[in-house]
Amino acid sequence: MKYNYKIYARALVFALEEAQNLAQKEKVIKNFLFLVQKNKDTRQIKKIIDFASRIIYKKEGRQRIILETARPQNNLKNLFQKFFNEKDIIEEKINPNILAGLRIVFDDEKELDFSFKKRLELLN
Amino acid sequence: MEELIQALGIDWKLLIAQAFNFALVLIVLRLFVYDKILKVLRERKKKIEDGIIKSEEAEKRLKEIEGLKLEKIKEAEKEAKELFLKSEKKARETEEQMLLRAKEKESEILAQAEIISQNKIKESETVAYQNLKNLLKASMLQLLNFKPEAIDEVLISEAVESLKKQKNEI
Repeated sequence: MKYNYKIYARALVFALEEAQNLAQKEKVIKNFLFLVQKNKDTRQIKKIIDFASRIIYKKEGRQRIILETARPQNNLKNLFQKFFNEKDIIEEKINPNILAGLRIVFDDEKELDFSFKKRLELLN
Repeated sequence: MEELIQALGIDWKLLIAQAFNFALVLIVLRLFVYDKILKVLRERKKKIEDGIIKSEEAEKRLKEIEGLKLEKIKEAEKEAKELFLKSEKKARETEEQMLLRAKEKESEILAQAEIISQNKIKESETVAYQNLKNLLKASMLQLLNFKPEAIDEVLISEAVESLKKQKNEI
């Protein structure tokens, strides 16, 4: 690992901001991926993209909200959309580890845990 | 008178000679013996007087010694009494201290017993509480296996209510 994923992410965001149009942005992304590959840091690519997304969302005043459930739920996004800003990105994620219920994660930083697993932990 | 003297057989010449002899003996005694006898008598008298004085002194000293003896005995008695009282006081103090220590020890033991008892109660409460929690957990897990969707619904509704409440507070 040549650089930390946060450094890559900040560099990518900075380069994308500097790009004038879509073509330049595509070129920036292509060059960035080439650089990561060259530095043999491709294993960090998911982390880099997640962190870069968070930086961009933050700059735009948006939040990335993940609704984690143990099994697929109908209409979950619509049910919670009204509690957040329209600009916020809401994603659904299946996480069997929570056993049942719901866990809401905001920008990978804070969370509201209404999971069954949490209830069991509280009994310990 | 003369008849009477004759009847008594007194011979004047003989009487004068005897008077002379007596006077001579008296002079000789006065000159050579009287002073010596007087000196001896005086010395004797002095010795007797000294003896009497010494005896008186001795008697006085004896009385003083008796007095001192009595005084010493009284002092010794007083000291013995004081010593006895002191020992008695000390013994009482020691007894009181021992009683106090015994009471402290008793209190300590009682406190320890109380702590142990409380700890045992707490321990048993903890065990009971833990058993109850385990039972509850097992029940919850059974319920989860039986109707997971129902639990999802309840917990998701709870999340919605919580967010609603937060939004209203803002």
